[in-house]
Amino acid sequence: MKISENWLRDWVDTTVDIDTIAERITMLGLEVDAIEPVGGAVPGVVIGEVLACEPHPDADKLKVCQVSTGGEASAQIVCGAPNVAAGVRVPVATVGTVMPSGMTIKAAKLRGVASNGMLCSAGELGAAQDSDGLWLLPADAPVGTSLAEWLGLPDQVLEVDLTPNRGDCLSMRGVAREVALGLDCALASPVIAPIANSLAAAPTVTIQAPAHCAAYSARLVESAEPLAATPLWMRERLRRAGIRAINLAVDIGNYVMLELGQPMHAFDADRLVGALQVRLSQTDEQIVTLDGETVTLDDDTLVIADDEGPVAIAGMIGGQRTAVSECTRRVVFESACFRPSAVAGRGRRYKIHTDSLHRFERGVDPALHEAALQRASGLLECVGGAACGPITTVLGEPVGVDARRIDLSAIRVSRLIGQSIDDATIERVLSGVGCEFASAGAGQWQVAPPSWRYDLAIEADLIEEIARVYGYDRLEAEQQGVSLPPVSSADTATRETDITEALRQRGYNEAITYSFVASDLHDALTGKAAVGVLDNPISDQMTVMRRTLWAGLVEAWAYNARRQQSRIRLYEHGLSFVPDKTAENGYRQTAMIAGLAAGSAVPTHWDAPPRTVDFFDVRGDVEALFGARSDQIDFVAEPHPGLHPGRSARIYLGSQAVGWIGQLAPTFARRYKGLELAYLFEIEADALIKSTATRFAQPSDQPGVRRDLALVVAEEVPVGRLIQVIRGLESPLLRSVDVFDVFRGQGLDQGEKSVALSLLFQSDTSTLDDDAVEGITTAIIDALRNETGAQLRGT
Amino acid sequence: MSTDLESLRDRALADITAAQDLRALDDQRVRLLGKKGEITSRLKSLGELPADQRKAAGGAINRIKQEITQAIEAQRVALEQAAFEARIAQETVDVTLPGRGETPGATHPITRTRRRIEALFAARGFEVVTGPEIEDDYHNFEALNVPPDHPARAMQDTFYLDGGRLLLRTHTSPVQIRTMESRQPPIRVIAPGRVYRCDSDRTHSPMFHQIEALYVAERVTFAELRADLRAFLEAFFETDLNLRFRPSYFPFTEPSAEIDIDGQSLGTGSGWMEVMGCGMVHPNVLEAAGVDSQRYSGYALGMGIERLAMLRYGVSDLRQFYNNDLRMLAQFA
Repeated sequence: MKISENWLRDWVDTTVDIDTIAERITMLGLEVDAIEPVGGAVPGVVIGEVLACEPHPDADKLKVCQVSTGGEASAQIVCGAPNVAAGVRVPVATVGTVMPSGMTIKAAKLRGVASNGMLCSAGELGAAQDSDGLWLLPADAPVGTSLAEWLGLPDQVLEVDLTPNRGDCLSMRGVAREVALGLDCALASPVIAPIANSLAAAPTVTIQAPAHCAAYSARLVESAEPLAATPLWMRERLRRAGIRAINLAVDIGNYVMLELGQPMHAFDADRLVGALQVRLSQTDEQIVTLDGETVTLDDDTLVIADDEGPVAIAGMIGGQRTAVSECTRRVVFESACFRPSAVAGRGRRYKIHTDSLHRFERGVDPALHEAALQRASGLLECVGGAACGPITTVLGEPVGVDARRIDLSAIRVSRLIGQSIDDATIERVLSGVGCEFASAGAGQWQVAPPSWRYDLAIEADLIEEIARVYGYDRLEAEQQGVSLPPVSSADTATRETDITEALRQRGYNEAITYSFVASDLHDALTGKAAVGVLDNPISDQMTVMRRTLWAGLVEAWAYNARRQQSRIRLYEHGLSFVPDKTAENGYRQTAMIAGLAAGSAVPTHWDAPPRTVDFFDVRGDVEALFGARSDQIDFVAEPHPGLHPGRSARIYLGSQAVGWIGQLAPTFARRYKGLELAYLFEIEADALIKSTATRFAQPSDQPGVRRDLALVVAEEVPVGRLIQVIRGLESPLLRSVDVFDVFRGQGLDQGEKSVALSLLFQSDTSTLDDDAVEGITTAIIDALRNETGAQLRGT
Repeated sequence: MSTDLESLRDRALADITAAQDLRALDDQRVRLLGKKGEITSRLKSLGELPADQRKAAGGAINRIKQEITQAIEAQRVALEQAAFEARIAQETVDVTLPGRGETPGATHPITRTRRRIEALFAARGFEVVTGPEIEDDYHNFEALNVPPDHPARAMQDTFYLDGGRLLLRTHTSPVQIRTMESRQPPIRVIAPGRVYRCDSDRTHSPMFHQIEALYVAERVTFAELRADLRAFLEAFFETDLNLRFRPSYFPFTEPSAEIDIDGQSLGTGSGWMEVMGCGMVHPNVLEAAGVDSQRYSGYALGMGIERLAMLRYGVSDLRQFYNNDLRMLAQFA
């Protein structure tokens, strides 16, 4: 909302400067974003009249003008504007003027012809965003007068950022009320005198949808001549509020809306056919709106219609058929109270947004329609010399804002805000915001909020009024100190920052990538698994909700790799979104921890040979994530659509599948040309949270016995299988199994490998004798031979 | 002293000086002072001298013995010192060469900021809770007193999913509702997480992070909210702040306020900067979630984590948080 300071000062009787006013209403909840000077106040620019206008002898597009600026002599000015002509009155920047652009106007020769000044456009003077051609001023603009003085400048505009609950402040009157409340000064409302009926004709109106329209007033206004031009003062006020002047009837409607907050509409009475009806639209009914768009309506939109169909979408926009034009002599003004529910959502539905709709969505004062109509017809009578007919007002169901009665208690005020406010202050605030109230005992009131405050519905709303006028910053706290039981949590790591500590220690940086990703990349990573698709993505690279965090990590890898990063390790913690009919709202939203490693396996070092990261680097990182439970996880070779078929594994915790690990599938080489494909892992975060406390086991003091086995086994037998067989014997004496060598080649047949295992045996109670160890070892070797065909090497 | 003894001494001293390692020196010691050494033999042969000469001869030999013993000891010290120095020289490393091993990675600045905020609230008894990011209209809007077509919906450009059936939460406030649905006051929770709005420029990202705090109990007051927020912000920024508590509007709180920090008190320049929104939980919200609004009151506050991170770390473009450039991330290790 743009508020002209000069206009505001007509409404509030104060000498307080504008910065203080802005600060005060900001602290009342009307945030002032900026205070901008109104454009056009350029010293040295005067109103001039072009006396003569001849073609330039040497330039097709230039004209040589003789311009009067009030003095005896005229000035010769060369001008290139297309709309320059003899007789027009325009702003003239005299020699020496510094333009808003910083340029100084100098006496000069243009293509050999002397030019002493410049004829200006509105844009050049900072009075419009852009403009084509000169700023043509009215024929009665006083030649020689300073343009700024004539426009009523200087002036400043307050940019007020209104919250959606304060529809009542979408007008000069509404903002002035808050200024008066904040400064505790008088509000100077203009007196709106009723305009006498000098015509007999009154519009006929029926409301067929009374639930949507609380009141509809209309009045016929007639002028002997086509409507006059809008006076400068009104055009200026519209301009400063950011509204373009169109014609007198439309401008008056907009002016009254800005002044009082009542949106209005003007119909050309001669184009209306029959009576006006306020009714719901019929399906597929069409209207061509003022801006030339054809809108096809549904069956749930309030329209104003005549005998030939809709003439306006109620509270939103008028129709072209009945629009007021330059030749209009007879106008029907509409001033109505449409309920917020009658317009809510329709703007988005029809992609229409107007100042009128903006106000009706937020609620327009139901007590305002007749006064606004009097104001508009008064202006038209006064400015346009028109005569008015009687006002027709038809009522629908009341909006109910004037029937509200709210109980307010001083005790509840102090309970909610934490500070006692005395009764006199409470009553002063209630009056200041326009409430009627009656005492209902000491410190208790029954309050009727004003009709323009749709947002005051319950006691808490009134308490906010009291608090904001009293001043939030004056409230002092009393600490209450409610005791709450301590929060219990899992025994070990519970938060992802604790869980992921192991990754950071291993050189991984945390990434945060978008939850919505490009569908082609996601399809490639997941084998086109089902996925949530956004209805309205912000870009075609952010269309689907990720099932895997890899999509973002892979892109972050490519981003960094293309910036010459030779060693990339990233992890992310976040939700994956998997369509699942059994989950709430049809999506399983699971916290995952995912990682990516690419490039060098170790940091560049003068004493270590460079090596590219491989599966076992990343597997080690995953094992580190599980900490002491790493011996409970299994890596099982399983295919994954996004991973290399020979370098992918599913991760199991016990029997539960909790994640994946592997290298990006070779098919990604085309997408990421020139990059060594990254390794990835992804694990459900819950699997990493250890929920039970460790049970301590007393370490044995007995000496351990180590036995190393070199086994020859077929290539297709995974080493993990050997360990599984050994563990499967469940020997209580076996403490650990380590793989210390895997060898292929000399001394072995094709298709064989040698695996060296180191077994540690230990008893809790006694020193192991050789026989016991031999017995177990023999059992292990037998089991391995039977289950996997493994032979001891050299036997 | 006899010439014989003198020449013995001179030879011995020369040999000792010539010994270039401890083993050679020990050989000399054995040769001279050992059981069968030259000096030892001479002392043993003193008895063969006439009694009147014995004393003088013994004195001379003992003087030489002492002289030789001292020379051996001096040479030993010198040799040990040389050996030590040689060893040091051999073991000396170039301390300017880089160290070995892993450089730990960093938590993302957003996570770092979130953890700081969580820790400050945790110290006041706030428990961290989380909720889903794909939400339904009820939890994201309706239960928060934002009915369909409410103008406040235009304040938050919403991403929709599955033909409008679902949405991406536009704020962390649905977690308030889910928390109150599942437990009764007193409640003190803090809900961090990702939120989504259909908007993108230097200061808006389609995905960003919020933290929401909710405190519901008997007689929670607006003044207490104000005091708690000041304490929090001053602890977060580690400085005294000039704050203002500006009346504002959120459908789910009443009264509502936004908190502005005076840039000068933060050292980031002049002008007020909006950092968060807050207010007393609207009675409709309490009731919708099954909390008796006559008995309980509560405050809620929400802040953008990026906003605080940008102020604290001097990041000017929000989008820098999401390109995950290692050169940026590594600064937060």
